[in-house]
Amino acid sequence: MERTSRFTCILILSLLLALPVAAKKSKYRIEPEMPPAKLFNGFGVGVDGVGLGMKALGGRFANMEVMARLNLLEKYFPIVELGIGECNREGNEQNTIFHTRAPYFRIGADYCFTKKRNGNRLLVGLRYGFTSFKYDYSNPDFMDEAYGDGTPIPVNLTDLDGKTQWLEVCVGVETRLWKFIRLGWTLRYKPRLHTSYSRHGTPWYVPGFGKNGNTTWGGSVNLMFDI
Amino acid sequence: MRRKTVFLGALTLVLGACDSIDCSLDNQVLCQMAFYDAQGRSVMLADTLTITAQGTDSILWNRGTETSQVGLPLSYYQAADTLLLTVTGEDYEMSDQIIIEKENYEHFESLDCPVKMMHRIQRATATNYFIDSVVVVNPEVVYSNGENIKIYVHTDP
Repeated sequence: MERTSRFTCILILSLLLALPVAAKKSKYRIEPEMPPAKLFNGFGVGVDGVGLGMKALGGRFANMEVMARLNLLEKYFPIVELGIGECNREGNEQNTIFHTRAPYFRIGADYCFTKKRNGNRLLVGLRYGFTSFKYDYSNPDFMDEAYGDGTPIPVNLTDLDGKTQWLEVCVGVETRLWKFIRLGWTLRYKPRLHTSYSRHGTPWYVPGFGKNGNTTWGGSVNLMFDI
Repeated sequence: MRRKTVFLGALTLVLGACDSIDCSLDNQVLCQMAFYDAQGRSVMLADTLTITAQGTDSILWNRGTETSQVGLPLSYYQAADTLLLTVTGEDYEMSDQIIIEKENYEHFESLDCPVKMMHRIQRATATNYFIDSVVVVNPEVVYSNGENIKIYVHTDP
């Protein structure tokens, strides 16, 4: 009986001594429970650096845009993007010149997959884009080879009408740089929905969409400010 | 996270600068015409066919034999083209004119393709030596758009 009580005392004492050591060595700790996110968590405004960068570096085209978004429950981010698309391009083989400069508009939302609220976000989203624009084509060397006398007759077609609607499937990440300043990027897959162009030719570039085609890829590097 | 974000942003910029040439090789704009008999059967002209156009020295179709169809360029700026079709046999020569009234418009397919003039045929008429009649079956003269005009010829001996 005496032996049993001694053993029990030793066991309890050793367990009590071991507890702080075990706690110190543990790789895990229980996170304090996050308070539930508010429905309206403010809004943010931002600017895309890709378009500005492409314009500064003399790119073939540039989508310069600003955006505004709501923060709902730290999960849902309805967003509006407005921009001006610009393109001045001369053909590689021909002397054909394409020009346009027009506004475009996108509306959509992002969903945040990140559970922790530490400033980093993994976002997946969808956008609907629309633009109505005028574009110009010109070629100084146009020539009627069969019926002409060899003299070029320059072609200048201006203010051709174009309309395009498209979708954008976006994946991106963003992080908090400092207090209310955020930096992020998105990669965007853009299927074209509906087009209406002049019979004189399809535009080489569509403002906000990019190089014209059934689908294209795009991206943005966003500097955002939480308000 | 911040470094990765900045790096991937820069990568997006670089990828956006890629380029390629895109122009289809099949970018001829020709008015396609084919010969038929009164029953609508395809006809092959056994004798030599030469086609010229009023207002140009160019020969559009030069001494073709066994011709059943031709693809001809139309003028870029004239409202109507007069084509002169001459069939030459061993001991004869016959000519007919086909007048094609049309609307012309420039078309830019791509920056890398030459500008083309396309046409919408409004009316086609012909004289009647070896040609019986002409019918516009497709008024749009664009890239490889099939047959535009059926030429019915006299096949009776």
